[in-house]
Amino acid sequence: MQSSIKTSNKIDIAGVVSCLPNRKILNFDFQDSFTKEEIEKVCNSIGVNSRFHVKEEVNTSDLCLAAAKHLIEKLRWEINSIDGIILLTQTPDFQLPASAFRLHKLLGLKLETFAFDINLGCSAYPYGLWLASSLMNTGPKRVILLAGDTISKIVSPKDRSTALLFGDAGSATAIETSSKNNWKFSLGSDGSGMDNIKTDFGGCLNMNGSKIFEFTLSKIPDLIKNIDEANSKPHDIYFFHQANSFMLNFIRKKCKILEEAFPINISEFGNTSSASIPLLMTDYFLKNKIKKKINAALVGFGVGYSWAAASLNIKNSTFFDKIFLMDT
Amino acid sequence: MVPEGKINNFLENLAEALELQAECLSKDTKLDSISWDSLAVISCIALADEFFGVMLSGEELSKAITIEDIINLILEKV
Repeated sequence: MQSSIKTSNKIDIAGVVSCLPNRKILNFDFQDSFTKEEIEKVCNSIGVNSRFHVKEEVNTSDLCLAAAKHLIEKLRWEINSIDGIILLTQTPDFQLPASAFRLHKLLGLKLETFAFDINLGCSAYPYGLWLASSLMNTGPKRVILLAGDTISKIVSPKDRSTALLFGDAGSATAIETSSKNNWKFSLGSDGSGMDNIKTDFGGCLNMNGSKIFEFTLSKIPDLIKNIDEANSKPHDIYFFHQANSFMLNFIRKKCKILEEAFPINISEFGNTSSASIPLLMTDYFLKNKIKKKINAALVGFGVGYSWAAASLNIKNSTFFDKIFLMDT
Repeated sequence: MVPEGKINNFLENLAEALELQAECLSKDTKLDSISWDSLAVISCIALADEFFGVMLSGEELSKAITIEDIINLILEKV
């Protein structure tokens, strides 16, 4: 059973910026760890040709900071008008404090601005939009939602199922109150799957691919049905967490979603965990101009297990951009 | 009753997913004689869902020794 639909009222996305590290890793670069045949076989299935990895000294908050600075500048938001920041990450800079405090400091936010981290991955972005918009229904007018991960720091270079799949990215989303626009959400969790994507303290990421696939197959079609039914109009486009291309194509066909309404960009960036949906959106809207208001479904699923779908409007005035982190 | 043609079609698609010639895969084929790995398991789960609408688990598949065992698993669930 899926959870019931939740609604946030009078909320808009003002803009989204994604930020990539500038170190591009090609499949060929893994030839020290795996045979050519192994690389070809895995990469054909997961659909990844390249991914971007941070250098050792770069952390998740650096990617999110660059995205947030660019976003705030382009939107011309007064720094004192920002009431809160929420960072979605599973690879924070420190065990404590939350990396949101580094962002609070470096963005120069006011003392009344709330700041905290949330530990979610694949489902993080729609969850974060629900959390931010729910909080905004209690008073705050402007919130920056940051989603970023540097999974390359926790994968074992010898584990072909993770080393070839994951990329790093950060993002920032500006959310503000508006006169209309309600957002709908369908959310869920199943802790019985907690061991199937797991990293112990100081350890490497472990992933049971077939278990994750079983979970996706059993939960996601219902999640899509739920979020489609929650909306009076059909969705124009579906932004799915970029898990791997085999799984995405399978789910797309099973849910009978048209190819043109289901962008996939994993080939260039790999699976970027919490940042994959905002990265997909910025990538898509930089290539496809918005002519009229778009009815979008945002769908995340995986580690936890956790799953979430958001249904919302994207206006033609929404700002989108994708940047690369400059070398310091 | 599942038509034989549908099973053959499933096997042809499974062979393609495993990058094998269709004639290399029959009911007697032992899984340890082909490239049966985690990617193969995922492809098999996907194809079973697509062709027969049944949900196989990785755990069930790990007990299969031959292709026929997989077909029997599917037939039990249809």
